[in-house]
Amino acid sequence: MTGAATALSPGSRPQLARKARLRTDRLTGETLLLYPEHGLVLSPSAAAILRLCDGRSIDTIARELGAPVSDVLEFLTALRDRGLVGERDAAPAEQGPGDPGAQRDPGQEAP
Amino acid sequence: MSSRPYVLIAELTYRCPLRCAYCSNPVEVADRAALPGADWQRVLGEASDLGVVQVHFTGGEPLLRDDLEALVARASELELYSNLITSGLPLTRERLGRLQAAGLCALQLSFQAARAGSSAAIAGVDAFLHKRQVADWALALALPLTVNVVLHRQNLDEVGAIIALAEELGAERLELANTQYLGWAYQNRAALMPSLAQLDAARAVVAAARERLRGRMEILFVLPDYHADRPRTCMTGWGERYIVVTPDGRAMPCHAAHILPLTFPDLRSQSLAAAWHDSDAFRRYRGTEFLGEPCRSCDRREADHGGCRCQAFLLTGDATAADPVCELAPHHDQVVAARAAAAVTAPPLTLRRLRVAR
Repeated sequence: MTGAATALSPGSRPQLARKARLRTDRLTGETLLLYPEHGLVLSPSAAAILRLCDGRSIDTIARELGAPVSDVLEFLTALRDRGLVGERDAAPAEQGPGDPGAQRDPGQEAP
Repeated sequence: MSSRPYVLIAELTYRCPLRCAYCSNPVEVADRAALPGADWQRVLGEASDLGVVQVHFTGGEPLLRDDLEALVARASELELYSNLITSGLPLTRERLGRLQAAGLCALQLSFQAARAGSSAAIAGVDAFLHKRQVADWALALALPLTVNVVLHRQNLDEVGAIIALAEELGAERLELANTQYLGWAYQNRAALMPSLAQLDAARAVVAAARERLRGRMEILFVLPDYHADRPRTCMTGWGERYIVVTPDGRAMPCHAAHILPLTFPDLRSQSLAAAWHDSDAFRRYRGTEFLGEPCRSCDRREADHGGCRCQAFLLTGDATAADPVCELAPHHDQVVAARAAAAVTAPPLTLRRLRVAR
């Protein structure tokens, strides 16, 4: 692992960390973000943001979703601090505060 | 109450090249044939249909199954997030590459201690250097790596060095779980139980490392429930999120549940859905209805469900009893006595061996 990444800015191009996978839940249709031993059920707006993290800048993502840049930045920073999002061509960071897009955690405390 | 499982714990075999004295596997295993690969493939599909989204391939040592790649590939096809929980033995770089190509999402590699000598003492096998090599391969393959170390009296004082090792290996996550006294760990309880002073010192080291490593490596520190005042919620609730499938194809709500006087559904003859929804074994301790006093009238019963069913049974002979780690439990004196015994000299370890019931 490299050191902590620099802060995300509106020009950053976020992408999902290697260990994180997005999928649609078969039973509920909700979007899940899965990573080692854990998972998050994403709100529709959180899911929409992550599905656009493919090399586009945060500015572009916010524009395409009609969302305030500050909201998108805040959400992605929270995920970046948990090591779930990195910057394109940059190593992701790990761990941090909770994220506003998550509603509940379906897979905590695996033995 | 949740009506679906999220996690399948696939115990592919009880065999293991290591002989760790804290192993949570049964002290004696049933004399039954291993579940064939075709059945494991079906179980993965049924798990996905039930709502499972994560699968942990574990054991014993899951690498001892030759069809592990095929099972990982099936999980990948089903979009299940697959974790391989392994000792790293026996493994080559080529096979790790094949597992990754099959869709393996993450590797969880066990270490026993920070150094070769102390590792061999607890595992009965000198595997330390090989494990380091496996971690190097994971890093080279860009396979997300968790290092896990079970903590106890004999390695708690090395926790700072263990953290340094995980950092050096490039782990994204370090899981430091204190021993749960079930299975072989219960047999070795007196040899493994740490003193409170050891735990407090380790806790301080972990807290400082967490601060220092914030943004680089996540450190999970699971306190031993013998040293907590209140019990943990067993498996986040009996039959609520997890399904364990044993090497011989039985479905259980928890990996230690084989000691309980229950009949666990045989997945050779019934579906995972039937096991989850309808079996007595999964329904028996769901929710909190089964609890007697002092749990029934306790304001924490919905939070902790009275603790661990297996521990309650192991220590009191009654699986519906309050988990004795709770200071309100009638049998709490047993836990207090076990803690107090940790202040005196520990007996030697009994290393695990595979014992089949006759």
